[in-house]
Amino acid sequence: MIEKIEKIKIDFENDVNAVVSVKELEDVRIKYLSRNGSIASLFEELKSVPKEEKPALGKELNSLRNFAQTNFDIRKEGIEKNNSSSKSKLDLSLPGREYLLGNKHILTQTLNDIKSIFKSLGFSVKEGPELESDYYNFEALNFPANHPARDMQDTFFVSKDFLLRTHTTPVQIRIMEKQKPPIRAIMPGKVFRNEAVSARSYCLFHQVDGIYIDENVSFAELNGTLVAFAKQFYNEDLKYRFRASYFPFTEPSAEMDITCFLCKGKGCRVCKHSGWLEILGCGMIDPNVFKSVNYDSEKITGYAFGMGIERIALLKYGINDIRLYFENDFRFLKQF
Amino acid sequence: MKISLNWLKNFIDLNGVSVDDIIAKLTMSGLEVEEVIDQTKLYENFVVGLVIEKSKHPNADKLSFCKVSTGNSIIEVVCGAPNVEAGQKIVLAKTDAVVPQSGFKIKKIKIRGVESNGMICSEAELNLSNDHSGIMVLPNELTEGEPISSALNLNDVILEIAITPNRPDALSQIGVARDIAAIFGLNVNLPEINIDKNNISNSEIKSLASIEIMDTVNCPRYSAKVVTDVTVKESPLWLKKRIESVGLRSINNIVDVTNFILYELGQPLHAFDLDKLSGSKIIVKQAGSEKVFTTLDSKIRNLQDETLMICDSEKAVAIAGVMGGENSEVSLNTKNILIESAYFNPISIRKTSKLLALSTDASYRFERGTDPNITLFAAQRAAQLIQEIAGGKIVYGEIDIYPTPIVEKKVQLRYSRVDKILGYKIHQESIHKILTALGFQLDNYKEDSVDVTIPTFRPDAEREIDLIEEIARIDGYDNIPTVPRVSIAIKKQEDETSYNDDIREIATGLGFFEIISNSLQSEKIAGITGHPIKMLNPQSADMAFLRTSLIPGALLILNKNINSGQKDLKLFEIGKVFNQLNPQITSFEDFDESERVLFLLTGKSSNKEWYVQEKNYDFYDLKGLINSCLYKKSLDSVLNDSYNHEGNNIFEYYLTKSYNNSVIGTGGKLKKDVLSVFGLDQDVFCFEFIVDHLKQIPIKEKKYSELLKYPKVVRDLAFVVDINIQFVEIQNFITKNASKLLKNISLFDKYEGEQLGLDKKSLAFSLEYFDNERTLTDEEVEKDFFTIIEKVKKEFNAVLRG
Ligand SMILES: [Zn+2]
Repeated sequence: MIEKIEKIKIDFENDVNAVVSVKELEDVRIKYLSRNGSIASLFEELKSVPKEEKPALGKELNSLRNFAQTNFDIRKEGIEKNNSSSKSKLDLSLPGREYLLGNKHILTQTLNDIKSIFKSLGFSVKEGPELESDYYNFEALNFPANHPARDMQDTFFVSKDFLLRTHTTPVQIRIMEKQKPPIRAIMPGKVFRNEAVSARSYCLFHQVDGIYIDENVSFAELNGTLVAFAKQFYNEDLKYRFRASYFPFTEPSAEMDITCFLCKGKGCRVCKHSGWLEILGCGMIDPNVFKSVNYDSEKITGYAFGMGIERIALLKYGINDIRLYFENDFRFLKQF
Repeated sequence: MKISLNWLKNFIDLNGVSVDDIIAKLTMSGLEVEEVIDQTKLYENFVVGLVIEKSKHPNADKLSFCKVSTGNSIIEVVCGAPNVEAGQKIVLAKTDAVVPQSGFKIKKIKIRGVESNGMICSEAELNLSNDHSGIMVLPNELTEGEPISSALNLNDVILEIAITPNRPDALSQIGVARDIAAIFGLNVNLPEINIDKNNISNSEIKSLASIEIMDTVNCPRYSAKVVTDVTVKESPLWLKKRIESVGLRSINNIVDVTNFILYELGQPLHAFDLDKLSGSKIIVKQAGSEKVFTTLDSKIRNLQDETLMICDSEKAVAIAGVMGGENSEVSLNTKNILIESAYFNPISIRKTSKLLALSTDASYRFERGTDPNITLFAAQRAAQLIQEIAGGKIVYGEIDIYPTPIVEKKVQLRYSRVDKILGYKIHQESIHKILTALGFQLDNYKEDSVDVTIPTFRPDAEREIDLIEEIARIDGYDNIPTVPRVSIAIKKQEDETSYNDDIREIATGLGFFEIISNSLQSEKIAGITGHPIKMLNPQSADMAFLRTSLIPGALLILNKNINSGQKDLKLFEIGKVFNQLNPQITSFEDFDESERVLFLLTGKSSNKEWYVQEKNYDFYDLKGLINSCLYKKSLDSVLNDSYNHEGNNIFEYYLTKSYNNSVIGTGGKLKKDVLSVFGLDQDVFCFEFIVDHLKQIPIKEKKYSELLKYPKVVRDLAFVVDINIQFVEIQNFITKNASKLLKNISLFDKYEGEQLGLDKKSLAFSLEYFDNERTLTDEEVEKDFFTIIEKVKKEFNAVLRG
């Protein structure tokens, strides 16, 4: 019998809480509290239990009846109050009024992630013009006129001496012209390459260059800084390698690769079956660059690095066509 | 650049060095291996087969049915080649073989109802030549069933290496061998010149030919050898295979030898038919009056005055360092040959190559810098090889014009400098070993330095820093310790992008989505909003001009989105725009580069929902959102708004915001005829800020002001006025005429309707009075309020409503 009391208590609680109308309220009253209700019928049963059990069960049963009556009354009051007001009951299930938040472009978001890591490492953020002179874009960066190194960057010219910058590296010359070391800065921005538009290349993209110039800056420190960056940006147990390369404005030069995260280094289409993904270029600033801004390269050394934001976002978010960034399809913009 | 490991083995002993190791270490040291072709793998499942029976295909005239023996089994195949015959030894691709040319995998298939279990291959299908006229017929002595990789010695490994522009020396087998030798501690042995006396003719070269350099700046050295009585014919198999392994096509034994030397030593050679050289003379000079020249590919090339030419006593015979002429080309009838082996000025060759838009294997190397001191050796080696395979005699002696020899540079290398730049130590012995292996010569050893003589085949190396790079890359960048010495900011940290980032933060908070559009546009589109700058070398007319405003690019994006059903858009972009100021761009003053922020609204601001009717964006959405943005950035009161109802070439009507008489931005409703250029037929509202001007507005200072302790008094009133009177006129008038107690005027209702008459409207204002120092009395507020009512009535001929 004690089990029956417990069960009725639970059923009643569920039923009374579910009540939303007067009609349902009456149903609950009839089911539990009326003369023929389940509680009354338990009192009938009580008559036939052994004498020694009666006092304890009677106590339980009375407490059930009181509990049911009290909760029923509370519910009744609530329902009546709602009904007596002139307004109809609130339908809380109606959709809420939503305010659409906007979104930064995925390239901006990626750049911001990069910026915040380098800012935490003490780098300033600097900008420069997109329509540059040949001098800043090439000459001062140790790309002599008529040098095949110029073929590395297909260039849009607007006149003999002016062009759309092919990298954000010219900003480092502009900074050095204005400032004396120590200098620690990154330089994000838009750059242009005179290449046919396809899924893999576009006529423009975004780059972040970085420099640290001081006495005693070394290749090993460049390595340390970039590893710190890559671990924060990708993940702590990332595998990487530095590979010798060539840029006119750095000597020695390197490219940094990380393990392809699609195939985990086994080799796949994205990493051209090498197991590695190139993420940035870097090196020690070439003495010829220092010469063009009248720094003494015997005393001052520095490192520089640069990375393409489109490529980094492409790899990070699995975007398979660079043109998507610039088509700005709203369905694409909303995804990030 | 293709490198054949079999070829390399002629100069370097690669025993005990694995191919995988070569690939990995070359890549790490700067010669990036981009592709590996392992012929043994490539020709897996290709075997020598013997055609034992050939019959007609029952259902197709041009096909035949062959039974091919592979020694231990007979395979039935359908073949389409005209030249297949019983008794031939052929190359059979068994099932699972992957055809190198097409990547197609051989499977058991039915061809016109007859089962075929393999394929008989042509040379083209095997990537052995371009010959696809018929199947490849093998020498009869080959054994059936033997894999062709061993039967035909197709066991080479070819590496495709990306050579950076600083490494012209690595554009040859020898150059790459040198790097491998340095990496693995091996030796490189140059081929030896070894000419049998019987093959040297009695005549002296100077009696057969003469050479004169008229431009020694652009041609510092010209070496030549002559070989007589040669037989021009097909190259022997070994030579064909060598040059085909690096991706060249075999032409004849003479041309093949020059190409062989080019790929072996990196020295471009040219073979002239000596009998076609008038006066048996070579003159190196600038084109001057010669205007056109026909190269050996039968194309007519236009010359510039300063184009360096190789001439004989009458005419030009080659474009120096780029391509030979049709008129002096080696042909099947050629008997006597002059081998040119010269060093040309890289800049001169690059200019010519660019002007002619003609890049050849020769020009590619000359413009990067060849070794001036290898010319004679290369000519001698070529002469020896030509004599060996084409017969004839090598003429005694050589011509070698080299008026000012280019000497090797000498640089002091300080060990302390190596440590300083790299930040870690490489032992002196390692340094010596690396440099020596790369061909540098060391002397004058001191405790803290050594003198290094730089070979002339390394034009990229000329300074101490270049030597440090050589040392580091061969030692291996894997040895760089990761020094996590990342210091704190040295100076006050600046962020020039923070202003724009703030705008982005505000804009996205207000529901705008950021776009980044192409800065390059067509003239038609870029010209709508300014004077666009033209690219001299555009990819296409659609992308030949720089944008002059962010509006047209955004409209292109609208068009795409609307066409794909995205019609309700709230977008912003931050970016540079460009306007041409002067006809010629020779300085930064001749154009304007200006950063802009564009806000754009189109379509519905709210969709139909249970709580709201559907509503389209309008001018007031734009204005309100703009002001909300500015509210965070500036004191709104410092800005001046002006309204234009007549519009301009872009806007139907617009609002201009200015600060101190300088316009910070303009925006409004775009004109229909502008929209129609972009195929748009729904209203578009947009506003473009000039960031530099925006930045001049003083930023709202963060400062605490005492919270108001006294109650505000609010009075409402409504006027009926002429419909053309603007809200701002009345607002300004009230502000001017009210007492200082009036702190705020807001418009809470606007009504136009027939009851008022069509030329009238009602404007309802709420006036807010308070004082920071005390509670206002009803009387003083009433007094001011009624004074204003009277003044407004009089000024605007207004009627007080209700
Ligand atoms: Zn992969």
